[in-house]
Amino acid sequence: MDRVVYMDHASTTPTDPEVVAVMLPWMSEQFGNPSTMYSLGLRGAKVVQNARESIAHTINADPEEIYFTSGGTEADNWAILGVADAHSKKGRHLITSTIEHHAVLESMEYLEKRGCEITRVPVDGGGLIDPEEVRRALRPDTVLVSIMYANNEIGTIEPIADIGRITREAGVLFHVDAVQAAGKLPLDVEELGVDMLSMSAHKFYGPKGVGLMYLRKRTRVTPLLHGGGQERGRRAGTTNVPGIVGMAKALELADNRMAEDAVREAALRDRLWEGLSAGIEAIHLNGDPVRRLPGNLNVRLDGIEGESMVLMLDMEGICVSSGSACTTGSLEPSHVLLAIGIPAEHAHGSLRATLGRSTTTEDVDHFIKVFPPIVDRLRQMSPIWCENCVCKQRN
Amino acid sequence: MTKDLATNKLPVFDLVRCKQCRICAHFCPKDCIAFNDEGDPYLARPEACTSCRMCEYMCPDWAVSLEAPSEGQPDIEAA
Repeated sequence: MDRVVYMDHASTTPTDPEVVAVMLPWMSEQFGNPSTMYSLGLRGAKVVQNARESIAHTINADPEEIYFTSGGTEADNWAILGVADAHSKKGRHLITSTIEHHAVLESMEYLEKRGCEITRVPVDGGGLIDPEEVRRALRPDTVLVSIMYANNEIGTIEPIADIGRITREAGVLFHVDAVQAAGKLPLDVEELGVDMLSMSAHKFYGPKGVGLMYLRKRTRVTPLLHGGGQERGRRAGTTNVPGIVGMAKALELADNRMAEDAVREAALRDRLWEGLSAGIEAIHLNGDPVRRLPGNLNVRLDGIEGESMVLMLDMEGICVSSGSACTTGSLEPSHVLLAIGIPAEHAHGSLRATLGRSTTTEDVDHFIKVFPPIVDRLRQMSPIWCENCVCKQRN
Repeated sequence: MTKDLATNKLPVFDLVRCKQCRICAHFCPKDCIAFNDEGDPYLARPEACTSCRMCEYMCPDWAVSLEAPSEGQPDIEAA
């Protein structure tokens, strides 16, 4: 088995060679700490400032509103815990949704155990949040609304601008987890009406271990990390110069080719779904059929465990996920699939394929060719599959 | 596909912002968007629009917004 078909771009993306190239000098001869006063370090400070300006320009922010972090999880944690702490005198109520990433949900749970009240707004069968649900959940003591732009499992795109208008009217801070959206959807913090926004470089062909939080000017947030005075005293830790340089380059590349990538990946995604649904019985699409990220396909198959499909596809050189990579190994069914109304026993039979820049028509056709025999074999072994199963009559 | 979240709303194109890239039409699942002789987009089939918002989400120039039809414009519910 020589061929590797990578279809797990929502989990991580390969670092773009152009990104690697701009990072390398900052990991070798230009290794200086940008917080120092000599030239070797100051060159790093200059290039970090350039990266800050480039990223700010892309998302229509001011450079002073960009704070570099270790990734999306840190940015999400910082936004939620930092706002809850800094605004605790105003109130201790926060709003999120039932389908957020664990970096948001676990932060909310942490606060809940410490006396905060959390409202989790529901989603419809496609994973969409009704902005009016957010409006109804607002209270005088609400300090933060945190909603993701696009879901990491089913790719559903949420009406962020509408929610932003509601939070602005109410004078409540609005955080958006844009980890899956960055590089795939246009981002403009003014158009979206957000106060905080999280991103992670490795989701858009940048390096792992670096991300950012956009933090609107004059927004009070308690620091999460304490130590040196980096990031204008709000995020301690030695500046990750190569990572930041790489992230800025990756975002620039993604922004320049966004439309081209989106059109191509959506066409391949649709080809994959058409091929799979034509060749396999009792296969269902999870999530909204239209309002989803261009490269995202999430399906469930009656009578099979998702992880067994992942392992058998791996033997064919195809990399996909059951649910999200962040919960791989968990015996719990996906909270996202449960939230959109899929029963636990069916949620276990789900598979996520997320296409990216390297995905070709041949890759998609290879998947369409090798997957049906795998499904047949697994169903033959399955104690919960029967040829005349009633579950096949659904959907 | 649901259309409950933006019921009665239809895409409106800001032709000052629009750079005529046509991605709105590409992502329209119902082929509702067409282009005039100048290359500007317009909603050719309002009755087929499901208010899915993909034209709005994918527009790199923030030139599409969903708005309730004003008087004289087609009403999505009536269509």
